[in-house]
Amino acid sequence: MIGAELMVQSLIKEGVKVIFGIPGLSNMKFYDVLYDYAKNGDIRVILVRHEQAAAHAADGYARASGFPGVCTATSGPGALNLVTGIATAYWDSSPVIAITGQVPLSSMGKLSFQEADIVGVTQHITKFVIRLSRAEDIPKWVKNAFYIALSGRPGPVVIDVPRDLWTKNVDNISFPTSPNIKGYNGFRLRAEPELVKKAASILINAEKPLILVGAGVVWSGASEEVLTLSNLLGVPIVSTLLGKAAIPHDYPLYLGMLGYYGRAEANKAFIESDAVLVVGARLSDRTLPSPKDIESKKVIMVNIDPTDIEKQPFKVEVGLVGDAKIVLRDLINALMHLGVKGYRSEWIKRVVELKEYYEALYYRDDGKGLKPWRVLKTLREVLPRDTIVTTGVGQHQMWVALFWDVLKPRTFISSGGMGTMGFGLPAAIGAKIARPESTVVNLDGDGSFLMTANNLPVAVEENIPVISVIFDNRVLGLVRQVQELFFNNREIAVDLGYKTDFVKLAEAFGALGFDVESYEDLATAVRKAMKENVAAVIRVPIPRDELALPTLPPGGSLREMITRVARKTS
Amino acid sequence: MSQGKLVKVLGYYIDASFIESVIATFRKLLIDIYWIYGRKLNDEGLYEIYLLVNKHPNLKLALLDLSKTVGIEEVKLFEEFGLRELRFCSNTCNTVADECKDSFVLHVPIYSRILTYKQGEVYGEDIPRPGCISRRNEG
Repeated sequence: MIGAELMVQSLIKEGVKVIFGIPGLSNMKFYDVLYDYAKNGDIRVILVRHEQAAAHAADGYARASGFPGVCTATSGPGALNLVTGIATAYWDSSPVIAITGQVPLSSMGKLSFQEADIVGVTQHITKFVIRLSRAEDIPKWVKNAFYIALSGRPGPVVIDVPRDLWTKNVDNISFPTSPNIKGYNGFRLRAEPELVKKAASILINAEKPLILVGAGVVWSGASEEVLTLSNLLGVPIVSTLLGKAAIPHDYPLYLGMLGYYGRAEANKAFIESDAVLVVGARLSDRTLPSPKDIESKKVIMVNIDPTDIEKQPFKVEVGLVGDAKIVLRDLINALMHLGVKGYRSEWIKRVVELKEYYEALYYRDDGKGLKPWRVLKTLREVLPRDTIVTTGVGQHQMWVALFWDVLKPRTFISSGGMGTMGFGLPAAIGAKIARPESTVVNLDGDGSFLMTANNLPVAVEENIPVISVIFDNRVLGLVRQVQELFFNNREIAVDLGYKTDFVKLAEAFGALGFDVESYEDLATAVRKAMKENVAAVIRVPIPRDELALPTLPPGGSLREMITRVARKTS
Repeated sequence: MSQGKLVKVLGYYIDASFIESVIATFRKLLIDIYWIYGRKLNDEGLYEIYLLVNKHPNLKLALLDLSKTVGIEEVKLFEEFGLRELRFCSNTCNTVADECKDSFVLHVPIYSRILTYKQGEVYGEDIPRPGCISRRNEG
């Protein structure tokens, strides 16, 4: 058996059903072997139009399914084009496996045609990277790669395969049944019982406790446990951007996303709380822009990665290292054992007050153009509960973060840590392949969409019916907003012009295109796109000067939150 | 150099990127490396690498990050340590040569406390027996 066959069989043994990528000189033999498996229906091979999209699609697949997504590229430019997508997956702890072709072993390091040192390039944006030097090692490292990618804090793994290994004959083939990685034991799953008891005691005695959930809750599948805890103790919940995917937003005690562009009631409740249970969140500088916002609180952190607890610049009262689901179950048991204090009626009353006050502030309509919040409310009314939403990056992403109601766990996918524009469409393609029974909608901005819109034909040609709703303000809106608010209106290099026709663009690629002028138009277009069940682009015009609020001044803390701008209310 | 912190890394070598990843962990967190030496310990590819690094507010984070890196078995931070400098004249076996221009220098750690970092967690300190320190001192 040759190396390429070993690779394909190893991937299939791991349960791989789809590979996103582009063939080229250095992964040609890999594709040649895939030919037969694809023809037999054992594996689906999706040709993207740029490798960045392959990595994002694998990422979207992983986040929608909970199983690693696989992408491939040839050596040099192909592999280098994966880099942004790999970094995006790393920052958001998503298990992506990238298989890169490499020049032959004898050519490496000699400025060979299409050579790039992909190990050197990706070493610090992956959980693990390995350049293989023997075809015999392929099964072992595929097995290891899946284990590394999915265990502990998930993350991307790159396997770099020199071209001569694809064709190398291997005798005495053996496929390992378990991983074997020296120097990697995974993190522990269960926290120490004494610490769990201490955490329970803090939560029972707190007057204004809060639960902050992050992406770890999604990966651990701990949504139910978070809701049980919240119900048991009467504790409101806030989330990080990615943590939105963990909590159904119609849960009455969910206050929304916390942070730099967070919901005002979430930020306010966080500031006023006296104890915070942080579950599966690393507390990035977007979630917690300043440590002074948390310093006076009793903080309990639950995280699979102990580093996230150890590295905090503030005192963590109790660090519970372990899997969120297991730790929260232990915590619930400890709470039951200790006896739960009554419902915190004053705190809940205050939180409801905050929610009502700020909702009145958000949901205003001056009649000048379509309002992002109403666009999202309209979409929510039309789309099924289990609709998976992806986003690009920019103002539209912040509006979605603020106003899109996630109703089922694992149905919100966005580039959080890396903030990668162009993420939305390819991630939607990956998500739709992972969960074909769900409607998948890419809520995108015009600037962000255009960065990877060349992959629209992938959705069309491969019959992947994703709907892209474009918040079209003809400007790089978030940058423009920052220039307006914090750079004295000196707007530069943000206008995208008015000539791009998104309907024609969609139609040119064979997708359905819609240009809507009203909320009713939007509802009709979405219904039609769902009914037709084909790739579609719906362009929604948004006024150029619409702002994403609340925001913070550069370097500010949550206490300095800006909820209104004078020109908007004068 | 006495202002630095002494670190020992135990990990498994696959290729030279193993050494790069150790060094880059400090580089990414703006920590300078004063000197480094290492060696292969066994046929399984276990290596030990000693580094004297800059005392820096990011050091703890670097050690935590390093300790959870795939392939790294553990990281040790030598607290309360001293370094005995051994200077050899190159190409002259075992000759201590203070005035030798082309010299090879080894720094032998003499320590009383070690913190161990493993899989992102800090483990209890290891305090060696005085006799052990004494023997190392003589080395």
